[in-house]
Amino acid sequence: MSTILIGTSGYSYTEWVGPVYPQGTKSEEYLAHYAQHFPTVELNFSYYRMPEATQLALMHQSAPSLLFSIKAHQSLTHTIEPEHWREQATLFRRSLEPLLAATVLEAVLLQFPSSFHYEPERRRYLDSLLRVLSPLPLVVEFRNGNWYNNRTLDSLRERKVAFASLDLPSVSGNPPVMDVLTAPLAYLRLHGRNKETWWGSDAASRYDYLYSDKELAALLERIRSLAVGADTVLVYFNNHRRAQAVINARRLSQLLAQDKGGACKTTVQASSISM
Amino acid sequence: MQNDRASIIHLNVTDFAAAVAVAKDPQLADKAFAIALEGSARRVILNPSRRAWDEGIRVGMPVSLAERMLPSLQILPPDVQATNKAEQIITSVVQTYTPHFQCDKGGHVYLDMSGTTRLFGPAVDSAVRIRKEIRERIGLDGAVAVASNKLVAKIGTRTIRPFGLAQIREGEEASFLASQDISLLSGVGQAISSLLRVAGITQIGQLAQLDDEQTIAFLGKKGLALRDAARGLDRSSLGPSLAKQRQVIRKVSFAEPILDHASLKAALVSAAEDASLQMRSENFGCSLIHLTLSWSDGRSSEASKRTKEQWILDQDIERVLWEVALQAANRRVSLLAFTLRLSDLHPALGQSDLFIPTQLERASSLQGAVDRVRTKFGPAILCHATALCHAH
Repeated sequence: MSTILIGTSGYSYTEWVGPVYPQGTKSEEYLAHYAQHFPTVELNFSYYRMPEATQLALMHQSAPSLLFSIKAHQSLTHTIEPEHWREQATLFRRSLEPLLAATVLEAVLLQFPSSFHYEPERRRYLDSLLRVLSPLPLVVEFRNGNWYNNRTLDSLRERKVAFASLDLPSVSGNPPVMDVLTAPLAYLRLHGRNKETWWGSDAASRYDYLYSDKELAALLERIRSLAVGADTVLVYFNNHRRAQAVINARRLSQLLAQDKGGACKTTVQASSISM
Repeated sequence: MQNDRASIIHLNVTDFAAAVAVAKDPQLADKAFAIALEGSARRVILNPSRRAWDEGIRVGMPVSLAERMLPSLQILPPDVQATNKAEQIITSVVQTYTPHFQCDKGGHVYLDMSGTTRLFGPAVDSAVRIRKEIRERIGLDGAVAVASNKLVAKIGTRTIRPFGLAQIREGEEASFLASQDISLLSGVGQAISSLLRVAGITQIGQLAQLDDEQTIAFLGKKGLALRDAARGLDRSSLGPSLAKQRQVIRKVSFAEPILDHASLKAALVSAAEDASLQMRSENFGCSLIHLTLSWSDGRSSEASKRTKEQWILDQDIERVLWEVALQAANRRVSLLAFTLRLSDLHPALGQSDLFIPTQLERASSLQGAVDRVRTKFGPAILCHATALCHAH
């Protein structure tokens, strides 16, 4: 049995006021409104600013039903300082305690940029980071295609760390599509398929994309395959521009529910037929 | 999923025979078991289950060693009928997507999805659906990869196996292969792997970077093909669909009606040698031998014999065929003709080169030598003494 949870990457976008949140909603009320629509959210602010335990505790209080994934701070993935990262990792880990205590932390996402190459030094760093953050429910996302090899997958399986599956524009420089279960948790990030704006534009334009129903139906098949063997599948839409992530997340939830009669939270069972 | 010109799908059901055993008996799913041929004191593991694999059991390992390592290990004989049936179902699924497919041994299927986008959408979407359909119909899961050629698609499934999905975009084959382990490249076995390791080559990309001179120095002229493969170059097309060749048939009509068993035996041995040579050349074994005798009074009689394992070598096929003939030849009427069918063809279950039991090794080795001579100089150059009687 597997649980599929669908949500968005981030929730705090002012342009969502109107299409998603009622007019006049204050930013501190966003999360409570969000929780009325989705069972899970991927917190992204934590990448830019080191989160604090009190802050995360308040977030949980404002949306008690919500399950969280949280993106690791950039000091652990993008701007790594050999002398200081351990200290940063400790700070980050401590901040998660309220979510861990309330058993609402589903995943910790370590998203590495394309400049994070598959090199011995980086591999040693990743190994150390995974040790320091263990036994958190870790997920690793690589944007550099050289990490998409059998040794990486085997290493993640040994450590029971999830390998993030991605949906990205099919443009040169992006990693290949790879859905592989390396832990009881499966994690799919949907970044949109805007080829024109992917390279060389601002973040808002990069994620300006609306998946069609046909594309969502195909994605649903990928999700169902990931669900075979996984305890939980977390699916996050990152095409946040113009609230398209919300539109797509709702629609995908509907498509999932049509199949199985559930809402956003749906169980899937692998079937087998005897010969 | 997005459009991409890469249109070759490779489906790889890892440890196929063990996976089929689990599909047939789901209670085996959490058990450590392995498939091994029966009847030899020095049997080797043909297919370990996932659980057995996790415990360190590997293909080619002597069963005695595997049992010492894991006393709870359950050994099962190959179930050729079940694997045949599974292959037939897989074939029935894939042929609804494209007429261009190739079923290779041990749960490997290639599909060429060129020109199917309008019908089924991008190839990678078809790959996901095919995997799902096979899983739902027979409980077999596997790895699927989509690439611009067979070689890269196969390395794709080897990268992610036992389960998963990979899509390698056209033009990015070399960069995808670059960081893969050299052992994933077809043609790199233990010997070449050791040779390359001496040169510090452990990843496919390192081999791809060698120029012609360096490659020849390390690996000889034949190494150039391997180096090109490391660069993701593969122009091979899909082979003929083996689904259409599920039996090898030989029809023999006697110049004059015969009554004696010696003449019949000579003709049967000759036909069996010929049919089994063709079967082995395509790397198959058979599980069913069927014989139809046509009598001079216009009637016919039939007999057949089936095994749960496989018959591959001449000596086994000739022995069983004679038993079948004695069953069918139950009349005292002149015989005009016979038809021999080697059926239920299934990829030959090979033994690892390192650990072939001595007796089987001798027989296989002799058969291999005979086959090579007959293939090179023609079937008539070498035959069983009994068959000479028929020839003359």
